[in-house]
Amino acid sequence: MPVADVRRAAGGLELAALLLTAASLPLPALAQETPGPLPVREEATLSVLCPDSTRTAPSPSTDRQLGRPEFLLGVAAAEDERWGDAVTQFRASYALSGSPIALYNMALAFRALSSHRRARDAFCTLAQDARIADADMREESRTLAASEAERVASLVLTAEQPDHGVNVTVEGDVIDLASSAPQEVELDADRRYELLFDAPGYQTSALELMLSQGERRETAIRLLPAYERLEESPALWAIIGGVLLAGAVVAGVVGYFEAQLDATPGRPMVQFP
Amino acid sequence: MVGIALMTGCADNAVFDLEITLPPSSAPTTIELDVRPGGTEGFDVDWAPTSAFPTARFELAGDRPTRVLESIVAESIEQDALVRIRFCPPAGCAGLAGDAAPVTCLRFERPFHRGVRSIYRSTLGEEPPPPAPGQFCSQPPRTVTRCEVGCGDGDWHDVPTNGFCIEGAHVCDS
Repeated sequence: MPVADVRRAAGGLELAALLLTAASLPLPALAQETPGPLPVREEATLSVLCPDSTRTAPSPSTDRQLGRPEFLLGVAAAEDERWGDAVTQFRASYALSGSPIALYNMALAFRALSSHRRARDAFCTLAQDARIADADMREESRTLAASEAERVASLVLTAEQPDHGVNVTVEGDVIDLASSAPQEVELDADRRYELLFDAPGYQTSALELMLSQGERRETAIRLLPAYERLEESPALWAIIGGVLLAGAVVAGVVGYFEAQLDATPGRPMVQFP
Repeated sequence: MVGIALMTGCADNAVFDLEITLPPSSAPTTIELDVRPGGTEGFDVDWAPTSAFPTARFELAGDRPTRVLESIVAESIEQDALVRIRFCPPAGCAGLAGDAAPVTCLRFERPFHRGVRSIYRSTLGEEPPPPAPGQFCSQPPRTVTRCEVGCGDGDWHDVPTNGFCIEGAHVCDS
């Protein structure tokens, strides 16, 4: 299946626009004039599908040379299927130019990397902001945003500390989880994450997990108090003992025998140490 | 407690799926596919099949490409995977000298990611390499870098790919 298609027009950044069409998409044409506002029905659909943060985008620059070198590097990376490099270059091009094609290509590169949440957000921006994309590109982006959104899962976190909020770190992003107020965190489905939790006066804790498509999981976070000397807290020792006992039973019996990955069915397999 | 309980829901082993497409062959050919951990044996010895590492066999079709498959389950992710593809007569390569049939050798650099099913799909060239007397690989082994092996359910599955790293970090580990 071809993953790239080249569109060539005349002049400026868009002249050598390479639109990655991993799903054999019709190529969106560049906006020649500012389209009108979205119909009410479309806005309602997108409001459910897209985060608020994707509602606006920077206006495209009138200088067609801005971001062009980065765009061409992104095109070259995409042609070589170096999708990570393509993301970096298209992001830089978009930051400089505001070009919808740079944003569209960045979204497709994220999609090729199975980074569904970021792909959805970029498609959402294109689908919602009539200043930067024409009607055809918005329609394509709406379809792709919906497809990517199906591959995003949700984790609902609640901090049980009565006196403090909790900082949650996910892939370098820090989320302030207020005390007793649940907060929803979006994660890509079928990807392994490590979440870190810390709060003043409490021990840092980590949680590894992987969610499936469409899953919405609720988790309560309870951190252990930080003591200057561990033996000052008999309750902490009791908790540690309980955790070790329960963890050994659960991890040894359930975790090992049921949570291990199996060979893909229907093909020969070997076991490495 | 919650953290420990949830952590057990994540696998601590890894699976690497290998999918290589071979072109049609005018002569009846049996493909023998062998894999070994990178730390135990190199390509400079004859690999005798064992119960732990059995040989997978595929009949090469004459009118359409043939896909050879292997699923490798690993406890340790810090190891390479060695792959040998032998182009044998219909009865197989048993009884032939180790250097009597064309052999393509591939070394995958640490293709495993903990808790993740990684995958490599590629298509080999039109003709198998000619046998090289005295060598167990007909050509020097090709090294497939860690960044050429992907994961997840992206649309890259149907094409040879590379570039699964962003600024040095593999996307399967993010």
